[in-house]
Amino acid sequence: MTSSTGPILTVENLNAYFGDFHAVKGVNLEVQRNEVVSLIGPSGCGKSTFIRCLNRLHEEVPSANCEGRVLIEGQNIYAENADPVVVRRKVGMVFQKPNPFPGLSIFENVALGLKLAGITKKSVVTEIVEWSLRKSALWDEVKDSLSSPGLSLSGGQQQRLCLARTLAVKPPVILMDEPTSALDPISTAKIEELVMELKQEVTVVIVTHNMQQASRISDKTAFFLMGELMEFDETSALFTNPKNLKTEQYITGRFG
Amino acid sequence: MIRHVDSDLNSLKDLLLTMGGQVEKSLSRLDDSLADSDMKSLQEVHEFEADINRLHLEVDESCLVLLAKQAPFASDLRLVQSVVKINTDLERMGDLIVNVASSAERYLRFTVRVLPPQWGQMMEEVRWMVSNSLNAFVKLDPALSKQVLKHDDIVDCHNTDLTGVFKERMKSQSIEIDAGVEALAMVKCLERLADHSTNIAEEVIFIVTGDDIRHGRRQSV
Repeated sequence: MTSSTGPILTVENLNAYFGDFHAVKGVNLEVQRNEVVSLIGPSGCGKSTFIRCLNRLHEEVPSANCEGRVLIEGQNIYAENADPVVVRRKVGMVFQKPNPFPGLSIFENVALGLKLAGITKKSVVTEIVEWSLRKSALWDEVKDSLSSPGLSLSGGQQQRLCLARTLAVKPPVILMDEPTSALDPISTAKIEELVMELKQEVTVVIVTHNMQQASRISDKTAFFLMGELMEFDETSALFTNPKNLKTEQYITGRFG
Repeated sequence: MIRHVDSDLNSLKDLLLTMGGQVEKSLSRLDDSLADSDMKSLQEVHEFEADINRLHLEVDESCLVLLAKQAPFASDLRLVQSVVKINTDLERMGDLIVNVASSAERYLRFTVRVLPPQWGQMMEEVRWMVSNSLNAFVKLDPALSKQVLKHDDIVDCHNTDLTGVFKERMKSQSIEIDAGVEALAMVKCLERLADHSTNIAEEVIFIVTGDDIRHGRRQSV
């Protein structure tokens, strides 16, 4: 959805806190366009907090705050004049548990973001909803029941609906926080295939506890431990010959 | 932290070392038989082959099951991949030892039965390489692996010398052409045994460090 060159996402000396608790410690990271980057690490290592800093969701938690710079397409999302709503339109997010808007139909779930973005022309909305549902590999399954409630879908379909909802506003970056942890293997495989297809158009940063998933779908992998970024490398290198002993110990199951 | 995968990896290593042990015994029997020109003992070398082939299949199957069940990463993954390759090396080593025995049986049927002293020296080097490449695997010792790699140059020199000796004997007709051909085949097999030992040593370095030093990439070691 963008054709510029250079990193799409640059994180500089990012620190995140919950009150006095230092959850993310001085992280520096660059993500190139059209890459899939996996974040791995034991529970509580700061990876979810980290991605929530990438679209300013972290600050929504009472007592939470962060410092440092996060540049999306060269623009610091923490600049004084940066609008969190605009930031979240550019950096979409899919959560661990599918969360379609209750009371809204399948069509409305996808169209809502467009309405909030000021896109109201019916033909345009209809076209984008279909495009989003097709991109999420859900169109064929729901095209005859677009007015049914989003919550009437299966868990795997709901998660793809959430992905369609995210795609509708055409963000250049999509964050995914354990998007398949509640799904069966078939639904998981569908989401993974989608991620690999979507990277033609978007950049994906995904938190996962499933190391097989990280090794299957990501170009690069970042290993977090106790709030620190311990290692960030090509996925093929990190899973065959990690440079950091802690990474080696974690991915071979020696702790975590 | 006790890992379930450790039990599977240790079983795999034990199985491979059992196979390596059979290769060593087979080579030892070959050496002793040739030293004594003992035809009966030489035929016993063939008996090891079936056991080595059986272990070859068992190791392959164990690797496949381990990869499917444990989906290992990092050093665990490198270990399994290297075991697959070492398994192939050991099976070929078993074949080469049998080939030497077969050639030796034919060689010893001719009138001249005495192998030149360089043969014993080359055999000693090869046995050292085979034994220590397996020791390096047991201990996961890259330093010992590097020593094995150095010894390959010594074996190559013996190979050149011995080949020259047998060619000269053939030219001077001090041995029959048929005997010379068998002798040259024996020397070549011995040299190949050393090459397979270097393969094992290179795999040990890969398991421990992740560095692939094959095909002229040894300079980095």
